Amino acid sequence: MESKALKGSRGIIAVIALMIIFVGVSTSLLQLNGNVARGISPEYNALAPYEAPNNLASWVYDYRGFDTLIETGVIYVGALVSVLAIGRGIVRTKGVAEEAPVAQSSMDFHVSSLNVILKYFGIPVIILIVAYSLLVLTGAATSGGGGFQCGVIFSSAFLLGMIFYGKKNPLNLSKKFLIGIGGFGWALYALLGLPGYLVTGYWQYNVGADLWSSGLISGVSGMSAVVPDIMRQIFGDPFRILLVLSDGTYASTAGIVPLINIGEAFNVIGAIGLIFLVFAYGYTDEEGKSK
Amino acid sequence: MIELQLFPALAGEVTPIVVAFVLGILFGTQLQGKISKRMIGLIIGLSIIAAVLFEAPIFTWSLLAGFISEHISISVAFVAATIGMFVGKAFRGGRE
Amino acid sequence: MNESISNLWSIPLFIIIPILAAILLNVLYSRKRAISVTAVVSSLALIVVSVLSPFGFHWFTGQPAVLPTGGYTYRADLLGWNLALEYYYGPLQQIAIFLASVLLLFVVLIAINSLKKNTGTYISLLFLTFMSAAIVIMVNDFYHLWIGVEIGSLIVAGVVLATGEAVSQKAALKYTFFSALSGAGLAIALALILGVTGYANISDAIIAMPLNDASLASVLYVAFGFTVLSWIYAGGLAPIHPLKADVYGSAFPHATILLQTQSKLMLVAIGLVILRLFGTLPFAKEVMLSVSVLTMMIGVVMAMLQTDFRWTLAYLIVSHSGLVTLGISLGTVQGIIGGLFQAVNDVVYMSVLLLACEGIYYFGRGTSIKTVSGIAKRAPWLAVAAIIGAFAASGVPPFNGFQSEIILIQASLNYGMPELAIVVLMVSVTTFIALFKGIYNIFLRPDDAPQAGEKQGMPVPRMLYVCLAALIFITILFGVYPQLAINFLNEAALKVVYIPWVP
Repeated sequence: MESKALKGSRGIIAVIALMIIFVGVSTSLLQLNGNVARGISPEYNALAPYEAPNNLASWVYDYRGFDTLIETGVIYVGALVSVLAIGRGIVRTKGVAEEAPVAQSSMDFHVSSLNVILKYFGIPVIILIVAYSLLVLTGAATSGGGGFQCGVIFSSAFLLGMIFYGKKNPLNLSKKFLIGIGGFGWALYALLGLPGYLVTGYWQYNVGADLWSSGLISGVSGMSAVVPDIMRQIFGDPFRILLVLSDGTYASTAGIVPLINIGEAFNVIGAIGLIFLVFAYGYTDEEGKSK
Repeated sequence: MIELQLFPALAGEVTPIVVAFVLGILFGTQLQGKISKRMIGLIIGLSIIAAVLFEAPIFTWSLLAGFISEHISISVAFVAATIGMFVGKAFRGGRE
Repeated sequence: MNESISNLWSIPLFIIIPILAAILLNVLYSRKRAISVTAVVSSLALIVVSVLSPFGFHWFTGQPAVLPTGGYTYRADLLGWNLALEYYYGPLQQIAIFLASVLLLFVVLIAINSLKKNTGTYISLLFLTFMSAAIVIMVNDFYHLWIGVEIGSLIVAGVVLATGEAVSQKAALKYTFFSALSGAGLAIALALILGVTGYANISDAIIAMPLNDASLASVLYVAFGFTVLSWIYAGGLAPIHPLKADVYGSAFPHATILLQTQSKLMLVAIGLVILRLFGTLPFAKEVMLSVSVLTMMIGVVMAMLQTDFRWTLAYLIVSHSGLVTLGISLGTVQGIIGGLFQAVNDVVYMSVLLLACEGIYYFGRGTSIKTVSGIAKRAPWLAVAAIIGAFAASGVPPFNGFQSEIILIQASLNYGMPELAIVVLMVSVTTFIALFKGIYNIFLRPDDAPQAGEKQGMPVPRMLYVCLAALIFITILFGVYPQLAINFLNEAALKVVYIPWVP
């Protein structure tokens, strides 16, 4: 938005509106202070030890796993739309004369001016950052971490390479690779709901952790289907660890949560990497031209 | 309760290391340019230092997963990812 | 009728099929044959699922509800606090999703036939538009509603950008900028409601709502304000109508069909949520009513001023959104039925008009009433379709617009506000004038332009006529047998008014 638009009466209206909003929000937050209803959260906490040690992981990827699927979609679509603005996927009507699409030219990098020390420093740092992102990914269920963070850290390595080395980026991700990995990630996340859907009828039922049909928790009525042992083993056992807590020891598994995180990470790497790549170098349709 | 016990570690402690290694190979194939042997040594050395600083994940109880004592542990997944990347780069071979 | 099924098979498919189709189409990118097959098969699958599916709930991730007495249950008809995210597929959802998927099929067919170059990304965005509409209309969870609105506005920007013109880039940028506010507003409202009740599930939140606690009343009002703000932004209601109209006007006319469907469904969904959550607050309905009336009036007036048929339609769509919200804001059974039925009809007759507009596009001289003329001679059937669409939009019997507008008028009279009925009447009359100004100039005015420009054009794809015929059939069908749709909507309205905790 240009600053011109905010001068004069419009600006005054905007300021007044923002002030009203600020006062409204802050007074209601003050009023909520100490009055916040606990609602459903104690129930989640009671179930926590049976699932991932990182309570947040089971909230984000299990109880509300479908929310996160669509959130992941927001990132994917964000990349799709940003890149569309630059030129990937603009369509034309057959035979109708239209103005030419708005094109974006590539950004200029002056790699030669970079310090030699930085250049030597670059490769190890990039490799270590990528390794760190993978560490964060594998810690999805056990510690603070997960797919989003992995993707962001990974793409910071990619951006670093782009700044240090320009087109000779040691982490040479092509547009095709990024588009593919992004799509694969979101599809993997979406399809990880399938086993639970086929077995119990609930999309994204965590067949690995399987709290409800395995008899871990008593007092459940109405669960029609029971997850077969083989399914439970395939998805659950590779991630089973021993939770030693003050109130007892639980052998718990996050089930499909770590796998979902891999899909999530791929999606974020693809999306953010593509945005970096295309915003820096512009988009040209090699695929389109070859036909 | 079924427990796949890979002695002495529970499977959940080992799987992340394998995952990190495999994904390291995947992203290693995307590396380009020359990396000298000394550089590889340096990077692996650095990664081991980093692994000591990061420590093994919580609720890890076996040596295989990097648990040595209550205060000293190694994040094996990090080292595995670094090595995986070099393996991946070696796989790619002449295609640069 | 309280459905007890908590794992209805169809609900995930409405979301997962478009997602997978979109990913595949985006990767295919420029392979025409594969794109056509994937797109057509997936949209047909959506239609089939929407027809075959029974009614019920789906609790994603299969976490049960917590009974107030302790213990857990998987039965949706028992009173319990949901651990999982809840979607509901009922009569309203069925008719909305069926219509949306039929329109998706038409739009996809037209896009495949009339566009060239790299259509993969564009068609994948069309599928995601459908997905966002399906999410918002089915969801019974405040948090997820927010995500649906968020992703929906992003997709709209993408669909508009795909035309690649400078004007659409401007419209998309403005729209994303302001719709970010809508998302943020809904998020703040969500935070406040979560703070007050502790539940993100709307039905649970309604039960836990502390309506008698005077100290929290102001919090509820702030939450209400933000929800209404996001309602205005998501549906393009009064103060921000130019943004939404820009979006409708600068997208391809066939894409606008899906965009307006999505925004009507968002209006319906968020409107019903506001009514269920805040309907008992004093002044809530009055605020909603005044927004609706403003939208209708400003929309039609702006539509009369336009000289481009695309933009006339764009402002009419905005104005008729006001009719939908008027019915919902009344909050009576009859009003809600009228609003929902108006939404359904609106989507259909606006699609007829938009397709006619797309047809004009092919004659090569744009859609401005100043440059285009005498189309009726070259495409008589297109003219007939446009005139039928215009009749339906202005509420002339025997077309569908008449049936819903008469319900709205009766509802306003029964509510005790005859002035609203007058506004509705005025809107239909003005719609008629605005549309016929465009139709006369484009179709009926003798062709005064030199014949040279004619060669630019291309024949109108036959697919467009097929889709037009199908839509006109629906228009007349709902006009003659309104019970076909009203039977579906009746139950939804009853539930919102009398048993508000059931979606």
